[in-house]
Amino acid sequence: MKRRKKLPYVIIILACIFLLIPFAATLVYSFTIGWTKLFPAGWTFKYWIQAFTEPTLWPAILRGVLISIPPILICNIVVILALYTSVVYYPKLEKYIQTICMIPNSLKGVTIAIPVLALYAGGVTFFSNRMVMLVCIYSISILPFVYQGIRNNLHGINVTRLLEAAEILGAGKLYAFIRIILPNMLAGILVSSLLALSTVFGDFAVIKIIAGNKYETIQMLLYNSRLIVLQYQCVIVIIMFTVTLVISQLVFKFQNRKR
Amino acid sequence: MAYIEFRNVHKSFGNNEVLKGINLSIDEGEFVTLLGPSGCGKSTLLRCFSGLETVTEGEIYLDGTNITDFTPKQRKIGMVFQQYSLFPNMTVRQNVAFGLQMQKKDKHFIAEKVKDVLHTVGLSDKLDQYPRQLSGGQQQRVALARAIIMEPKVLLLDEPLSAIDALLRRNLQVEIRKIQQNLKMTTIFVTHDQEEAMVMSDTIHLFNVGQIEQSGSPADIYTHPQTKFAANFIGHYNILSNPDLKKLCGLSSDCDFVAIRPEAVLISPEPLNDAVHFQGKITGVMLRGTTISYTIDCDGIELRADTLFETNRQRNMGEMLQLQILKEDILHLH
Repeated sequence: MKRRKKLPYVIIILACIFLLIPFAATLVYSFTIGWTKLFPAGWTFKYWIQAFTEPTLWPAILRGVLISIPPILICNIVVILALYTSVVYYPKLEKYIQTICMIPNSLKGVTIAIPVLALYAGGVTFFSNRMVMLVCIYSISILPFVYQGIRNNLHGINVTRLLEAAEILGAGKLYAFIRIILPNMLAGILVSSLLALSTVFGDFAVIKIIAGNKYETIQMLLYNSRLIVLQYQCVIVIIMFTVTLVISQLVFKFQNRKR
Repeated sequence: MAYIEFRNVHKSFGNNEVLKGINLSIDEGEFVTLLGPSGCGKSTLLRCFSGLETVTEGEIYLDGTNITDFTPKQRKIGMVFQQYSLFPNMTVRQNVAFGLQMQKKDKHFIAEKVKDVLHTVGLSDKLDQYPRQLSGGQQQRVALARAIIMEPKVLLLDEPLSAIDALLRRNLQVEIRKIQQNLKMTTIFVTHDQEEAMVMSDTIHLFNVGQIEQSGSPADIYTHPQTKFAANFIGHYNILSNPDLKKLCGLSSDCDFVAIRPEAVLISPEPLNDAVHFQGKITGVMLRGTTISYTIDCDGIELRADTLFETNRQRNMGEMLQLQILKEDILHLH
């Protein structure tokens, strides 16, 4: 019996160790001067000081976060409205919405190829602006995460019955949606938004193809530092991880406080 | 004119006609139960009355006004749902106050009224708790408080007790009935539980496949079921065909079927006047709390007989019994 009780803890601890090993190794390596066969040759803060005195670091982080916000907002608004409409008014449409939202998973290349073609064509329309293109591509790429998170959340609450209860008590459908349904969807929205944020924040390929060196995010900074020593890159990776962690913790803290 | 009137109400979902011309009158202050098996149309009728569904044909009147095309908000009714439908992001206080806030009532008035109503349902100490922190019974009482705080013209209860355990359900049945009587609130209650209907109602309307099978007081419906369905659904009656009745006791009926209440099958060696007599063998014994049910084989005809449970007078399987039924207890079904 005791053995059975301990087993889940052992599995969780092993999983944590497995997940933390790459992070710990990267962190340790960022403090080393070099590496002998088995042990570090020595320890230094040099690369950390170098990273934090680098004037492009914080603007690059900020750019990464900023480029994530519009696609997440656009995607959330579109998906929430579409799902709300389908759940409340046209339940039969939901399977079509699901199919549409899952397409970017299989056709990611196409979503990148189209703006690239537009770039080569050299148009001067609103959509040929590189930032607009980036926002549009990211909005499409994160659609499956956002959709899945919000859908699961929406199905977890009995939307129709809650709306009916509110309607009987004298509330309009829109008011009931804003006051009752939306607050109950907050957890799902936050989780899917965080997933989307980590996808966009960690992206390198799309930004490199569309923006080149004109919009340097932290991923681009990492790419451009490939010729500098490896320890410096480790520092940037740790900073990226920490920023994502801090953002997600802030969001969860905010959510818990709201509860 | 009655306080509530349904006039020839039809409701169809596609080709499926769920309500087939319902005509129904309810008096002010009455506690009416719509009783029937799942899918018989009782909840649909309630939803049509609340305005959550539109009727395909017919009219609904409330207090002399045709409300058929009114929105739920315009009807001034209160409703309690089977799954409580409390707003999970709001406290008990906020849930109960929601309706009055929609009416833009004064904050002080709302606060006082919320306290009063929660006192009525016995939840004064749960004001700042969230629905997830309450038990099923407490949640249902909050839902009731949220409905009655609006002082609705009619209170609609859509199987509100079906998700609650048996003991709590019995307590809530009594509490709801008491609150309804104190407030003199016209109430329509939907259930598939005949015992619940018997305990709570002034009048029962028994539904079957979109039509009202029989209406009357609980005692009336229980003692005088008019159809085979009513006899089966309401009282677990023994239903016998005319040839079976003849075989059992030599009597004959003008109707195709007769119904006999299980407690009207008397296990007694002393013959009564105006009764039919026969023998039977016990093939099953089932204890049901205060009563005991015997399944008895009477020459190939199976009967159920219910008697009071007495520890020292239990019959055994296989025992032969002298049975009798008063002739007046043999009900002829139309």
